[in-house]
Amino acid sequence: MDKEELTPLLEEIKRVLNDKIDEETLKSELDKYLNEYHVDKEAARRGILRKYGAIDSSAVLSGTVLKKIDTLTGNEQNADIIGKIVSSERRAAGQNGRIVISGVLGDETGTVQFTVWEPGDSELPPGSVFAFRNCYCRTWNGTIQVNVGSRGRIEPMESDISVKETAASVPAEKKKIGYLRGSEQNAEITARVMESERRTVFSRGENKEIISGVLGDETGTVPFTIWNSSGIDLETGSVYDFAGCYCKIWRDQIQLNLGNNGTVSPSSENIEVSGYTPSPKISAPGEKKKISELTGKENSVDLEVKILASDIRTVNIRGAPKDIISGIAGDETGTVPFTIWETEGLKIEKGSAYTFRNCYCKVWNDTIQINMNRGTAEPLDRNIDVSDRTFIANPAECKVKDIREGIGSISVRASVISCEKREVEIKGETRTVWSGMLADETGKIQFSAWKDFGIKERDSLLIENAYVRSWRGIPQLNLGERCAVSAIDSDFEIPADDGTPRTVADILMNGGGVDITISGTIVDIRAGSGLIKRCPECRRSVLGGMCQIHGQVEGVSDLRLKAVIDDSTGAIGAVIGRQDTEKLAGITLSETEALASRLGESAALAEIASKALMRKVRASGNVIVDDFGPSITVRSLETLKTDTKAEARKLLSEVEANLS
Amino acid sequence: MSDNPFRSGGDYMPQETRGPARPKSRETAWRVFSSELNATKLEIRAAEEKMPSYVVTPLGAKINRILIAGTLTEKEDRGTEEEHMWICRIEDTSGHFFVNAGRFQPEASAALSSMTVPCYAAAVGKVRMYTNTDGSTGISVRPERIIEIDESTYLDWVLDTAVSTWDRLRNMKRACSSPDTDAEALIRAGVNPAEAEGIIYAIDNDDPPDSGVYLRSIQNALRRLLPGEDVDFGFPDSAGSEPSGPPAGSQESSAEKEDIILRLLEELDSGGRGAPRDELERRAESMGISSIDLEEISNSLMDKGLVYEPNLRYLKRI
Repeated sequence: MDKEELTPLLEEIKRVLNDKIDEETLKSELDKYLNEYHVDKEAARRGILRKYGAIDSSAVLSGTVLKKIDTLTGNEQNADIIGKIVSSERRAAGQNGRIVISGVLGDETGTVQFTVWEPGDSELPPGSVFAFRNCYCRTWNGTIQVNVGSRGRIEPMESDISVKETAASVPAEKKKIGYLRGSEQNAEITARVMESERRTVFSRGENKEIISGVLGDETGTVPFTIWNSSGIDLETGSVYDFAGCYCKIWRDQIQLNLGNNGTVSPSSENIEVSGYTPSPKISAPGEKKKISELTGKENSVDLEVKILASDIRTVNIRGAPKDIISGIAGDETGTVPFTIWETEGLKIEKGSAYTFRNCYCKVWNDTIQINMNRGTAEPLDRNIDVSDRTFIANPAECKVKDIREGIGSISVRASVISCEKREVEIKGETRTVWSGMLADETGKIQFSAWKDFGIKERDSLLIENAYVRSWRGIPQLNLGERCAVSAIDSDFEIPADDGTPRTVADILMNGGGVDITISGTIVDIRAGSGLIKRCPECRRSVLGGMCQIHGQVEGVSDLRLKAVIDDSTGAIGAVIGRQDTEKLAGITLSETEALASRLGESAALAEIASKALMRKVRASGNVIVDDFGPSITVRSLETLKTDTKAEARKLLSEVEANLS
Repeated sequence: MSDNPFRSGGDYMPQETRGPARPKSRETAWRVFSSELNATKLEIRAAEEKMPSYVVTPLGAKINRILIAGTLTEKEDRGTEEEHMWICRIEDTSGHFFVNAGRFQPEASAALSSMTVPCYAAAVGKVRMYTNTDGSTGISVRPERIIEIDESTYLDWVLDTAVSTWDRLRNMKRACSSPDTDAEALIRAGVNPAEAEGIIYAIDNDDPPDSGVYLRSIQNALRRLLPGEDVDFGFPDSAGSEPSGPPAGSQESSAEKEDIILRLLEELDSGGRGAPRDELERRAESMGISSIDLEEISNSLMDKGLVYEPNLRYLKRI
């Protein structure tokens, strides 16, 4: 940009800054913004004015607006309201007796609830007029609440105000059920009661009688709860107007609620309800089915099954530990995994037969699962011959990259990259297992053969009826008793050692694996990065000089990064070892130690992080997926160098081709 | 059946009790230009504990986390020496991002303190929709990480973002041109599931996007990447409509929120065991503190040593 063009801008900046900054400084600043950083003139002007102190932040900060109560939306961050105290109460909040004043404030347009959080000695007697400054508003079930917090203040006013007795509320919106979005604060709907039930729940420290059920209209159905049910009597099948409803989303489903401000009145409208299916009644018997007849969508089904495997486990549900029973059940037509979520007093024995009542089904990884929550398991006095079906029926042949847990019995053609015989102990029994790595042109997978199939390195094999188990999210192929292995005459182009390129989205969908390469940006460095000490015996990291296994040890210094790599389809944790960390950060372990002894370990880590963050890298290694999401143990890492011009030209021609 | 595949008993567990069968993972950092982010009007607020909030851009990017880069042109500390509250602008080739960093972004706050404007910067952070006093909305980015970068790293970002903007624009056009399309059809056509979901949400809830805005963003990006070459999709150079004013900073009330929670903890601690989490959550919500905020606040209070968790279901004041 040439000088002439800039003169008016420069003059303006000088003028605004009262000629406090010399022209040369401003010129070079302007040049930097415009020519080095290529931002536009407005951004440059603002940037310079801000830097040299001319943009008055108080003007922006105190962007309060004097509001009338009926114009409040409930989202105000910073509003001024002048109103008359309709009622007020000084009360202690909490046991330590912190004092707040809350009450109702009114002006000519309406009334609103308020809370002054730090009232000090202020008195807010009813009938007096105050300016509430720098308030923020919140909504609760459709009503608006004004808060005066630590940044706010109250000032007595001389004037008088006549108060209109209408409580401020979020504007009501008339809605059809199908268009509810789950965030409504004040919705009105007209709907037919499809189901309703009065019951007592324990809420906020007291027993409460509520009405819950299902409402329907032409656009769909929705579960509802009326929290203040006194004086309300709903007739199933009748149509009512529901006003003052608010919605919540619970387990992906929208719920309609009527709180204290809600009303219900009979309506003469005729409503055709669509999309209604009765909720499963737990007391009613479930539909009776055989395992092979399950579709995975059953809400209440009864099955007669024999238990093939069963285990009690403790899982975390919403933060609380809970015992569940899970295992495999079978009947004459097949087998199915099951989970029992309510195990109180229930004993499930392997080899015994039971009637599972009122189960619901889910599909996970293409496999149907049965679940029992409020159902029952009753011992059954007959033997059930369990079919082998699920193990041997239609073993699907698939490529290595498509192997994942839950696809049942499979067949695969692959080459043996490595194979070794070892002894393992399983539940106190010593077993021989042949394990190693298989590969085809799509990827690699670990395998374990539980009997001697005579597998040798470099064999090409057709493996039939193998099954898949995951260990920490990496699928592994298991060759069991039912498996058949035969030599085939084919060559595979085994992927090179730098790994199979995958996206994080693909890993999330299909699980982890060995020798995977991902390319993305380092977006975070997590705790546990930087200098660590390792046990000289076992290489485990040592905390406070103690190794988990070897006790007190003299730790050996090491450097590592626990990074997060994001490839724009998802994010994956990456553990990066010393060599790659040194390369990435351009600093050696001993230099890092020197830095740490001078400035402290966190400063040393900050230095490394500043070099590693936002770098685009290609990382190869084994990927696991566990409760904490996917992670890669990086075996090799390189910084990605993109030819941005070439890539930009590619994009340019693609866009141009689509525009013409 | 000694090689029973089910011996370990746990491998076939359904991973979640209900809900979509997708493994848990960190939210993707979307590459989006400021023009697209600032045009966003849709917000999906978290309704359940530990569920993330999103904004959905006109091109259907369903964003919780974002990766941005550009020139840091303005920064101002509205906090104190001990507790920074940075308000910044980062200019990309299409406009600018509003960036706020305060006490909940300690790394980013510290990093901003030592950055000099102007400089190239990249940030990863959460997006937040805010409402101005006039009722209009805007979007700010709260960086978890922000660092100074070199020009080539910035240009890498401009390229990646141009490519992903173009992908979204094309997918959105495709989805708009077949009226009864759904997420499944888009996934079959090769769109990744997260993007397909966002596109359908945008179509259902927003006006069709003005493709000119995004073509111009791509054009400006390509002009920056290919200086001196002929890049012309027929749009003038200047950035699109300016988004209004810096965010009002809902964060400023965080101290108040902490006070509220501390008071609630006292109030709800009837048996000396602490306050039950679920009750606390209900009460906090009634005071305008979402469960997400509550999580943030209780973590912060724990960090300060003001509260602790006697067990998973209780929180107690020290």
